[in-house]
Amino acid sequence: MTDVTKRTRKFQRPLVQFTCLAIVAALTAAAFDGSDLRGQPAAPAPDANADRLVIVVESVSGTVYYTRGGRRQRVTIDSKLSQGDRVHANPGAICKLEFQRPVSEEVLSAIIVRGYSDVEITQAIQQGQATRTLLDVRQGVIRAGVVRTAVPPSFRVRTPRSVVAVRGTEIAELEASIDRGDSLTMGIVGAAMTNDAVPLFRSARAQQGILKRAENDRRGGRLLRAIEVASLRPSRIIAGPHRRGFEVDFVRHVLISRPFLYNSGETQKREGNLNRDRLINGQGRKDLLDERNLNNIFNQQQPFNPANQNPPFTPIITNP
Amino acid sequence: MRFSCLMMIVLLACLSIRADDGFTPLAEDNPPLMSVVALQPSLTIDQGYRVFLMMARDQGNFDADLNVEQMAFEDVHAHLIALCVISPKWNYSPDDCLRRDVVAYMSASYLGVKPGLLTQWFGMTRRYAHREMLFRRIIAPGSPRTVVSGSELLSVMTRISICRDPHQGVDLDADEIH
Repeated sequence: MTDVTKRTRKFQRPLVQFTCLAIVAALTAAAFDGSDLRGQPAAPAPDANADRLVIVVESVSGTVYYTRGGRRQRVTIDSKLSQGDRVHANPGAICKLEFQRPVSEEVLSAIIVRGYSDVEITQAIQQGQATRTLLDVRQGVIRAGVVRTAVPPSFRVRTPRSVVAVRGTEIAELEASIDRGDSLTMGIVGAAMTNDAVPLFRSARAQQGILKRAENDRRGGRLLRAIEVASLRPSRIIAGPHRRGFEVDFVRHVLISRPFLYNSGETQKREGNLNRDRLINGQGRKDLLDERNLNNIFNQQQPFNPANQNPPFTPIITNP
Repeated sequence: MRFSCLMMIVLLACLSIRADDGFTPLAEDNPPLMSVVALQPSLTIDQGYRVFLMMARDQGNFDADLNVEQMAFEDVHAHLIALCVISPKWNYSPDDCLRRDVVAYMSASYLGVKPGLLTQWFGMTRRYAHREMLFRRIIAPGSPRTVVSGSELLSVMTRISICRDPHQGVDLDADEIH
């Protein structure tokens, strides 16, 4: 009893309290990494001897770009992607990627990116026999399949709201969208089943099932085909929560100045909705087109007017 | 008491860590239209029309060399009328805001949706197109007279492209499609 009282009194010292709180704050801050998906925990740092997986473009249609080191390039069949690249696909585009081991070219996983998608390949490495893949999907539709190996692979897809892990031979489609949240559709566990051979069901996965592909019929080709024709069923819809500022289409510095305007239902009101007067057939507020004016109006300052030029909009003055 | 105050200060400090701290978008001289659109809190008619036309081009409705980003607004308008995506009666100016019911009308037209008997006789309206798109889960619930953000429009476009051609990019035989 005396020991407990002593410990309690010891905790009441300001220095001890401050130290404890500092530790809590440091742990909280360390839980967020430097990317703009900061709602998710940081990706574990790879070892120095980890090898990067080779990412091969199996096919691409429509307009698809990838960004590497600040430079944007068009994705073609000959493109070789790697860890750190960011893929942007236009609506109507489709891109199929295969993740292979660097030396043996053994296919480990495959993804199909479809529609408008913003996918960053945050991690694609192998350490010994273990592989680790982490994709950050800010928005878009992604379908993934993973080959089961002796050492279970780690394949994760992160969105601003959720993290989805794809296990060996499981096939899933994830849609991350800002308006309806995340929608996850799962294949039947273990393999994707097709019912085109009634009454028999055929399973479609890496090494069995649909063997239609004729040329380049390697293991990866079959896996990709299994993903293409997989029968999926709705399994989970992650409708929320929408985390403030994590979605891509918010103007960030406006959010910083008055974050509540965009997130509290105020947009339905005249004073909260900056675009209310700019609706179709409405009276235009040309001064709101400039974001600096927007900030000034938020802060009830004077409109931005460099070098005393003409005002951005002229108020209508009626004669008495 | 002191402990509570300190705890409050620490919690406030933690809450002040914002999602966009340290985020610096890539500086580009001439970014693609989609990158611009994705970051817009509200879109104009011009941007909405161009995004639709780009999707139609990528899905093979037009020549792949069609340079949508450099086209004049009148040309974009004419192409969409030729595709029967927009009504020829519309005379929106390029700077008008894009509303949800306009997006719904364009989506329903692109998908070839015929919402009902009366609509088949008298023509589709934006209001019923919006209701139909809500029912088909193409558009998220909301008022038809509100503006559309760039990211929302791109989500809708993705669903449209998948609905329009679910087997795009899959070299299936006819008997394999189920």
